[in-house]
Amino acid sequence: MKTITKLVTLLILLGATSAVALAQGPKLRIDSLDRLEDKASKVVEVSLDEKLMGMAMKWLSSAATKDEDAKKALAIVGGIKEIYVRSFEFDSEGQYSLSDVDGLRSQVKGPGWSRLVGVRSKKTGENAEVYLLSQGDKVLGLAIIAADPKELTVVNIVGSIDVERLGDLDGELGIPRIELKRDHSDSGN
Amino acid sequence: MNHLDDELRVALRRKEPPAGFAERVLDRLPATPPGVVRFPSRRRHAPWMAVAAAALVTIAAGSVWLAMPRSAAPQPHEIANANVPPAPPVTPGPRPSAPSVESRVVQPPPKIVRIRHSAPRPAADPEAERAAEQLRLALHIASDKFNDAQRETLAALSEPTT
Repeated sequence: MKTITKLVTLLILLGATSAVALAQGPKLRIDSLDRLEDKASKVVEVSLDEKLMGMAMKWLSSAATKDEDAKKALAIVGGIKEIYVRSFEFDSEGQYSLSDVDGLRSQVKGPGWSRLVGVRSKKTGENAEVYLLSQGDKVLGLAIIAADPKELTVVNIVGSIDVERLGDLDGELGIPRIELKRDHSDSGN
Repeated sequence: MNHLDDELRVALRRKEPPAGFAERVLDRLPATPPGVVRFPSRRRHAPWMAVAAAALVTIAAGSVWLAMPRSAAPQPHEIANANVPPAPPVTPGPRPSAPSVESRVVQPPPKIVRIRHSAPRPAADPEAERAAEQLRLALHIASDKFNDAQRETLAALSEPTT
């Protein structure tokens, strides 16, 4: 009887956890990072909810009526419902704590989330992870967490996106094509 | 009572004015009656001036119309003439029949293509434009970080394991 009670309790807890995880959905809670604004030398913040995304996509669609490449790029991002970006650049290292990053990672470890790419460089201290939330073959969301010694960037996409072609967007839709060269000379710790 | 009637009849009898009375009254009247406006006499050359003014306006309008630059697009008949090869020099002899017909074939006018120098701008909507700019920025950052992660992963995989 006690065993059954324990099992039932465990199942309820498991169900509750799953429910919480699913209820969160593809949208991450990144407001806690806003306190890093005071320490950052450069902050990039983008918050496009469903309404603003609709307006932006409509505007881009009307501007790309005769550009085939732009139309293809729009097809890649046409399923995005919301997109949030927080990017902080610091003048020195140690301006943000690991707990800030761990709090984000805990949100992308629920059911449905899977890590596509994960790389940590002990030499440069750069970490980059890409997580995908999917339900069967359907992509529900994407999260990119890039934690460098002097930079922390989080990108959260709600909706479907062609992940394989995400890296090809530079140069399309007016997105600048910039070749960023990492300078590892000043971050080797 | 009758005496009174007779006296009234005598007093109110019509009397003829004295001689020269009318002349004296007219002399006292003003030369121009008040409230009467004298119009200048019609000039006999006024119609000619109107005709001259109308002619002047017509000539001016016509000169302006003639001075207007003609449109750049060639007229159909001009195109037809441009495509026609120059006529061969006239030489005595039998008149060619087929070539002249061929050379006089009027080519269909070319399709006028409007070249837009820029893509049609969407309707002015500052909020939508701002949102589009933000979307571009977000996608640029996402694409950049995604590529970085892929690059780092490939670099890590290509490192020789010791």
